[in-house]
Amino acid sequence: MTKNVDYYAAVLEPWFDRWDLMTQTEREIQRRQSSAHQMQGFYDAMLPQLEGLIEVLNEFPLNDMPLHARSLMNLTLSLAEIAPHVEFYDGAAGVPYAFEEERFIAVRGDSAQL
Amino acid sequence: MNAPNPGNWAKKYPDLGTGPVPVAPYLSPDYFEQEREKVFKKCWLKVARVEEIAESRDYKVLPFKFADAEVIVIRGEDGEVRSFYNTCSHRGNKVVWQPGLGNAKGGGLQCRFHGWVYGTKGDLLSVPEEGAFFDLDKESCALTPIATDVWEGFVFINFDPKPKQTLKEYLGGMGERLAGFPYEQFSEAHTYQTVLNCNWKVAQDAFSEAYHVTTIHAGTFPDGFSTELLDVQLLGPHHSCGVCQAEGGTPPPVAALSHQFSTASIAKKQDDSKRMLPPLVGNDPRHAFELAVIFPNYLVHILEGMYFTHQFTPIDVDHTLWEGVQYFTPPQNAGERFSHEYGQVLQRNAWLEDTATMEDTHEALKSGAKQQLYLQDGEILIRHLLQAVDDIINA
Repeated sequence: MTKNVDYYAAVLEPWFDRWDLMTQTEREIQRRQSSAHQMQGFYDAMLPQLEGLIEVLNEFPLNDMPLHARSLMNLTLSLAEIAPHVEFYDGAAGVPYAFEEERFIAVRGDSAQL
Repeated sequence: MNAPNPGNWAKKYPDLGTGPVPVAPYLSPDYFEQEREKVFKKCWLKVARVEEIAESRDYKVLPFKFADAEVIVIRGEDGEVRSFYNTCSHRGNKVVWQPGLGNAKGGGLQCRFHGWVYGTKGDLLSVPEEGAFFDLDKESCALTPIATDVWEGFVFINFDPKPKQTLKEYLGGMGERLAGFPYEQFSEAHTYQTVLNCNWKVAQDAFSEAYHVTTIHAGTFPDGFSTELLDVQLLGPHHSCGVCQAEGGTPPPVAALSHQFSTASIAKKQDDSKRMLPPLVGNDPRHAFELAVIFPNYLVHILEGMYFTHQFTPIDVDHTLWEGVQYFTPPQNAGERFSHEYGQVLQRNAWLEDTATMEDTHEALKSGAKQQLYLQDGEILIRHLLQAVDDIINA
């Protein structure tokens, strides 16, 4: 089967609801509200697909992605957001021993621009 | 942990001394008043990157609480960058009502209060009901200018109406050291801000040494960095050093994939085949990134493939506006965009770890329990900042 956008959209569809988020602020908030189990499940689903998925998404211009491709792109950005919590912070939803995260304002964090 | 040779930097710069340093400059309102008048209102302060105001009539408005001022930085039709106080000549209202980025469409900045319009050179272009005024001389009603200059694409201002040094003179050897890095290539900025409940120097100190990396960053950079500094340079009031990578450690899977798609991460060993760093910087193979401070409060960190900055703008003796920015090349595809996101999230997390120390330190010092601080050899940049500020105040 050709691994194209439709293929990855079908494989990763269960994760769209939670992780297809257009802005950085949304992704940060979602991560802070996630359990270790939720983040691990998403991580385990994304990791084997990531390289192939990126290769497919690389064919599209960033500022003009069709709908499903944009959703898949958002999933990769959500993976970037949660990966340190799985790989470094033992599943903690917040960064351990850190400043209050809500006080770090991402300037243009509410922008949906890629 | 690598234990640096004791006394390396003290031997290179013996005049700084090695004794304990006083706590008072971090907490004293009187000292802060001196810093306000003699340092922050006389030094060149970075306000923008040229990419933020790239087009004709683009502007950026930002507050400077210590100066009770808001500043408009604006690109003229002639391509020049100028700055003005955001104070209307009519009755003093703010001309631009919101800080941030904008464009003076229609050729001017219009004050919403009564519709006075200023050009990008600050000149007063039009006044509704001008005839109702009495011999209004529009030429003397321009916006009040602020000294402005640009170095390597960084826009600086100086609140001194007649700065004692040009920007180039002020930057001196530090300007030469950092020049030539392709800053303009890294136009994609990821920016964070917060107001910190601490003195600006408490915040800046936390980013001015590597002693903390094995403790504070045990989470985010478990194998990443050494506590050793490379090539400490004190250049007038400015200073610079290299931060080292530690040996060993295999990046976990997502980290490794992000490195694969782009070079833009401080956690990745760099490929030297296309050297971007200026000739004096990063010649030790262990060099991870340069930590350079443009006095008083602007930290520029350059490395192959990206750069990042911190700025600590005082609000008052106990409060500071921090802005941290990571600069990447505009991503060309999904792989680069993913990689940049991973890099900037990781760095943000490290900054969260760094920032966790600052308000606690300030609060604990305010108890009055301690009158002096002890600095190791690797904390020479902290010692130098205190000395450089003190030298100006006591000049």
